[in-house]
Amino acid sequence: MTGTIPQGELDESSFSITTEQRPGAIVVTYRGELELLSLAPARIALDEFLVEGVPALVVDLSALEFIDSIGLGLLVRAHKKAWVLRTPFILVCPKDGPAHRLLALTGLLQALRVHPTLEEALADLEA
Amino acid sequence: MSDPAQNGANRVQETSTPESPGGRDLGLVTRSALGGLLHDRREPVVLLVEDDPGDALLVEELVADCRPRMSLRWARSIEEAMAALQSEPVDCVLLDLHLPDAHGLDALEALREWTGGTAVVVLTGLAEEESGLAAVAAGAQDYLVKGRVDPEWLGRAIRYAVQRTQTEQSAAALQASQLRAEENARLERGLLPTPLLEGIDAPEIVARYHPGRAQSLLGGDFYDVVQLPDGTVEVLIGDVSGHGPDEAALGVALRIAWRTLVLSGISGTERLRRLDQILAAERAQDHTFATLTCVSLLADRRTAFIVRAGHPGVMVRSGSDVAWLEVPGGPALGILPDADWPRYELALPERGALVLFTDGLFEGRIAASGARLGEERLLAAARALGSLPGASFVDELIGHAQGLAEGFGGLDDDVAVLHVTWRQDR
Repeated sequence: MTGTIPQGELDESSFSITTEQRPGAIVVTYRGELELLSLAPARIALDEFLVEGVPALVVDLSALEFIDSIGLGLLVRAHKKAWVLRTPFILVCPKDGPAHRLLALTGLLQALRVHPTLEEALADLEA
Repeated sequence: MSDPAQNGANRVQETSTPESPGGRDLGLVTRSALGGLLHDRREPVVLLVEDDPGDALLVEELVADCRPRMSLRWARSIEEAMAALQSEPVDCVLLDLHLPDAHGLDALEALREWTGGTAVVVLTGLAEEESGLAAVAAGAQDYLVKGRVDPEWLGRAIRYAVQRTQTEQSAAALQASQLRAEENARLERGLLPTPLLEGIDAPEIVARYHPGRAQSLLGGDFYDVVQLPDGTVEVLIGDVSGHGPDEAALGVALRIAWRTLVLSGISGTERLRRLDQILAAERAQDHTFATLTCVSLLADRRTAFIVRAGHPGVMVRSGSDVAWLEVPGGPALGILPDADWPRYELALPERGALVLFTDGLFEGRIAASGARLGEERLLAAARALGSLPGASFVDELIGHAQGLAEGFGGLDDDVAVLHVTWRQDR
């Protein structure tokens, strides 16, 4: 299953979402800027999978150019929702990316399951 | 209530994803209001929703004879009407109450849900004046009885309906902006208090709050300064994730809780633990978190203790030098159960200042590519301003960040900056 949700009309920046079915997990990839303007489509994409029920949800942040505290709030929300639904929830975030800096600053690196590459995230799920 | 009407409404809802239906509605209201205000001199566009071709022809002839002129579009069902409303701004809808996919007031309700601010005039049959009155009670601007209308009457009814709708919208917008101003004034008192400073060794405080997007409510940035009887000065800066009335209210709650804990003599890590509990208890949604930094300037002004909870670093000014200091800290409040927040001890230069701020200061977009100011460029800018006294330093720094973001939508987020200057007394 692959799909793209285009950026909203108001969004000057680029933001897009792709989703991909991998063995044992749905991988949602965010590209561009995850902030107030991209919040609604980004949230809906995750909510749909969580509510539908998936074996595991991986959110790939390696193509993000920017994320702010609103974007971070979305990840915290999804993490809590996934925890309630007992759906494994893993972030992919390379150490040199913009998201990593904010995850480290706010202490979310300790709170969430984060891997530097998609392969490592999927391997963690299999283990 | 007929099923097709339901289907029609549902279908429309679906097309409004991925944005929230609320967001889409707002867009339409704005667009149609603008359509009315900006194009006053063009012919008003009237959308007739009528399934009977004979009746439609009669209305078409009436409209053709109307002076001033207006242009008519025709839709045979609610579904067609919604498609037409999407393709161009419409000033007034002439709505028949007997349609294949919606009947009576259901048709009006379905349409109003979709059009928001467009004027609606209902068409009724000769024996149905009562349903016309019911439609007006349910939000239509007027009703006309088929067969009893002449061109002048029709034209006047439409023009009045459009005028009334525009007036109502301007009044509603005015009231909303007044309410917002009052709400902001109230939040300002809560989020941005007067420092509690007493005694001769009180540091000099410069506090600034620069609201983000115009016309919006204050976000959840907050600060506070309290001087204790022993001369210690306690300083706080913080930021609730998100931007809205709930976040602002939580910011107020956290600041007052912090002040209470300070005045009750609770310090360091323990104060953060209590704030964490308060945030968990007071937040409206369980994913809301807050970042903050607390600084205690001891009475001799030789030492400061800093506790950082997920918040960006601070700047330390000494002479004309500015350094970035991100002390080891704990997570943002509201994220981890049983978190810990270490206390960092900083030896203070004899004369100097600490600059505390929220991330809005360096997250403004400064290039079309989407590049942000960032911490490094902010520090470079601060160093260039290093010789300025407190107030000008802060104002120039915010001005710099704002100036760079100007061409790219301005600073999105609220910015709070607190500049604390001390001098060692002996």
